[in-house]
Amino acid sequence: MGRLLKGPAFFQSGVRMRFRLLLWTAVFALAAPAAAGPQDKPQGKAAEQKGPEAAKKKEYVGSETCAGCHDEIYSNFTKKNPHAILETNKKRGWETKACEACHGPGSVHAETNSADDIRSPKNMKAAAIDEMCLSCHKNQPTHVGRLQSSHARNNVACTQCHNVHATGAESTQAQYRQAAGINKKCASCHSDVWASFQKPYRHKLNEGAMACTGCHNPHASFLNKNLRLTSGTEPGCMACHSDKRGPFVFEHAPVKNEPCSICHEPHGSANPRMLARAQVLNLCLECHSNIQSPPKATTAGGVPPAIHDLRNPRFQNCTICHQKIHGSNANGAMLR
Amino acid sequence: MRIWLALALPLALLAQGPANNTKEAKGTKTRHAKSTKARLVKTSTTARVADPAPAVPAAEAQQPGQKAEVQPEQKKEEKPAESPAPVAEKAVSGYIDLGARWVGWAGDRNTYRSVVNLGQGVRLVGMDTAYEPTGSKWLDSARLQMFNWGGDPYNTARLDLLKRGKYRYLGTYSNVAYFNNLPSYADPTLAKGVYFDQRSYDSTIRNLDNDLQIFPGGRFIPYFGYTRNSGNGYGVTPLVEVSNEYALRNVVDWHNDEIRGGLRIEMRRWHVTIEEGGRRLDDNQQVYSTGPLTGNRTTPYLGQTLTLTSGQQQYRIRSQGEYTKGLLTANPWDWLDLSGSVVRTRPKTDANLYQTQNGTLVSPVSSTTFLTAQTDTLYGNATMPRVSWSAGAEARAAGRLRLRESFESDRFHTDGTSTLLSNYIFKNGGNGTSTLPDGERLEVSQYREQVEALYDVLKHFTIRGGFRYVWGDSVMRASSFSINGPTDRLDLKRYSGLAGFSARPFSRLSLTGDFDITNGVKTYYRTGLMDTNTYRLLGRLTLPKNFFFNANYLYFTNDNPDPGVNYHYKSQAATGSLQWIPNSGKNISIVADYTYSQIKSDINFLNPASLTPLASPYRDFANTGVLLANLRLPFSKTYSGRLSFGGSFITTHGTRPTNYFQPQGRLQLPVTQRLEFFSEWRYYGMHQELYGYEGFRAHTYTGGVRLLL
Repeated sequence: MGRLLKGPAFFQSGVRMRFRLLLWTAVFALAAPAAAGPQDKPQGKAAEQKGPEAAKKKEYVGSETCAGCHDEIYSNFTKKNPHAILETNKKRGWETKACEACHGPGSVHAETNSADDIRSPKNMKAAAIDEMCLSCHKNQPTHVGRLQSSHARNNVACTQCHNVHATGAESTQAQYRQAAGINKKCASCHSDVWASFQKPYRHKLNEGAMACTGCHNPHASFLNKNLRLTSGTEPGCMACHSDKRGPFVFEHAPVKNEPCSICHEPHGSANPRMLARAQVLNLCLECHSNIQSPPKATTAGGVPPAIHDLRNPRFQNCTICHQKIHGSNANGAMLR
Repeated sequence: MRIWLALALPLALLAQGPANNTKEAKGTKTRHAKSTKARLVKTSTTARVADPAPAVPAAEAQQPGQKAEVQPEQKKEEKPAESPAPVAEKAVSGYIDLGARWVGWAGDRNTYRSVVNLGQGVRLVGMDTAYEPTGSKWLDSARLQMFNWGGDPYNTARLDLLKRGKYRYLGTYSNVAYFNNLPSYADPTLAKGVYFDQRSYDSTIRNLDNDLQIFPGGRFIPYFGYTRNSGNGYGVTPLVEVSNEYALRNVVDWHNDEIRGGLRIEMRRWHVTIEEGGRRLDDNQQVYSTGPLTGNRTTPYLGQTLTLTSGQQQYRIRSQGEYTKGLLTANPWDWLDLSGSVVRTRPKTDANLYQTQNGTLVSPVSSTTFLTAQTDTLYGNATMPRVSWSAGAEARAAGRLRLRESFESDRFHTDGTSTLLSNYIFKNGGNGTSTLPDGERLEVSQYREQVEALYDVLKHFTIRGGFRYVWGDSVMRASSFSINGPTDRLDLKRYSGLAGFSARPFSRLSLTGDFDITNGVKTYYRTGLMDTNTYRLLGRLTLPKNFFFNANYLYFTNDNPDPGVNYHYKSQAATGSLQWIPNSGKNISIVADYTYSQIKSDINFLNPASLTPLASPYRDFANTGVLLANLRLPFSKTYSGRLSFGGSFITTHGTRPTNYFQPQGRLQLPVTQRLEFFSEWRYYGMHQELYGYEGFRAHTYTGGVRLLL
């Protein structure tokens, strides 16, 4: 789009096709309201109280009434579910009405027994589900940066990962206590990523020693790929690889201003050091191939001195000599 | 043979008599039905909490047709006499898996250890226990989990203590062995890789994390944390001298300790977290020789054979830094969400290096002068002040429209200086010294702004579109390989168009599309992100009879058309996933995935010796399959076991063809109500066509018992 804004270059590039796609998307978005059907009613306690006439008729009947038919759910809910605190805690405003905290006033539903008369996440749009859950959970630190997270942008509702009613071994709490349970849930959508973990050189997720959430925060992050931060501002990789954090007297700049994935395949690789190329020399020399320095060259990475005779395998294994490749405190060429 | 032995072992235990688990289940169900009725009469919460009825799907508990007929008035007419006496909740629950493993392997042992590394012997395979006392003043629950203890290359533990409203402590520990004998480069035309194990490790990385929250769930939540990350072990690493390098023993010994504390204030409309933390890294690496070495050089240097008779290197690195972090979320009105963060850090490093080497060496000052001994003493320090902040907002001014905007800023620089003092003993007699001051500065500023609109076209059809602008600059000394080279300033500039949709045309089908089209203007590195296209499509179909089908497609390209770069990268992945989990998997569950992925990368690089361009093509075409099936084995009306089988395979062709197979099977048989036997077989087989020595096959058999608490 940089070129797109430059004018003529746009028409010479393959961007035209993509621009049309965006244009049609925008046109469709503007035209759609005319054909749009009814939307979900506003959710939340305030909305229920201020809602349309029909909503006003609904009243809170208390969890005891719900338990009359949904005894199983209620029984488990009060025993093991963290949301059970709503039932007894006076400060939260839902005392004895925990069910209706999420499902809304149940008086009409109790009379008709119709699923249409109660708020159910199964029938709600993702944004409405999120709004329902986040009416309590929004103001928590894990949701800082939620708006940029790919889950929020792609309408992945809270209930796609969290099963609010399940208890025991089936409960979200129990499953997410183990790395295997977390990984299983993430893999159910990100199956292409899980396929990478079947490669021989990988982080130990298959073995249950690590979880996806060790590096990613599924709720929110300001970083790409929902990456976690550690020690304030460092990417999550440094939580386990503290020795590569620095600061170093001589930095290898990409370690600091590019993600680790510029050199490594963090999920799985055919290279024993989880590199993004089969051999280390390709990885290094693909960048270190500029004869001239900027501004004549558009990128950084000078070509190594001529003593690096690639016919000799000794010079093909770059990290044998440049061993402090993540940063050195003693040598600008990272030899020690 | 051992497979049969492992599978046959449980049969001997069956002679002890079948477990009456089905009867127990029936009994529980009856008891549950009775308790259900009883609860209709008893309305006190206490009675409900005391009921131990297990989870049964609602469909079993009540038939849909009966639902409308049951009225509260009718319920009160039920006889209280049918209610069973409340059974006290079990205070201790969970399981402990104890077992022993046998390993049989063939092929390259070091490759097996670099990839799998499972050993033999008695193990605590797994343990997941909970202690939930009733009426305790200080404890609602204590949960302890431990997996793979007793010599396995990775073991984990987790302790979770909770008293609702008072505190929550969460401690986790992991110990992952890092054995790696394989090089990042090996010559595929040779029987054995060149410089095969000159960068090898036999070490472990441990993580200990402790987190204590006071008054969880309250408005004001103070919290404290302590984290320790450490690496210990041995390895091999070269001591690099002028014109030659020598592989020496390496001691890995570092640990990073971090403490943090803060206060979370969680109000209904806003939340603030203030955290202060600090860390300290102690890194004490050592390198030492165990005998004379001739090094990697195979030819004489100016007529002399370079040797190292003894060498030693001692690093002492101390790095520390404090950070201050502030987080904010707020929704001052129902239609507006705000969030933001500020982090300020100022880490610094002090490093000392002491190095001695004796032998026939080349002087680093004059390449025609030979030395018999050299001693280096180095002191270096570096600081990295950094301030990052971000802010985001979502406005829902109109019913269907959501507008999101976010901005991020990340600015830091590293300032490093060092002084190297060297003493030489020349081969032709005499001494010499030199002092080399050096240092480097790296400056990085990066920003990102993103605006996006989400519009609910229909109830279950949302589209979104937006724009992202990423820009920044770096000043570095990376363009020249010369240590004293000039600094260069580089810019980063990328414009992205964002689009996407999520739709649920009918209740059983959901579709998601995510598109990101970026035109890069400037990037730091030749393989950095420039003109990128990302398309992601995800479909999920729920079929009758508890079938779920997922399809996933990812397409990504990165091109840098600059004539001096000419980089083209493309990756694709298509996945189909099928799940069949009827009746919550009580009798059978099957999960199967298949993925086809490909990576194509083309770029030229310059041969440093001749400055002629060489092609660097990289290809990786992979077929991956994962299967996990779980079956109940109904041996009789009163006795059943469970059989799990499946595993994964990946077979790739391209630049580094690799086949890796991991099938597995597990049999689980109850012996008594509190004892089960399990037997597990796993196979690991790896073959790399061009790197034949990096191949192995291994069978592991684990037999053991599960104690149910």
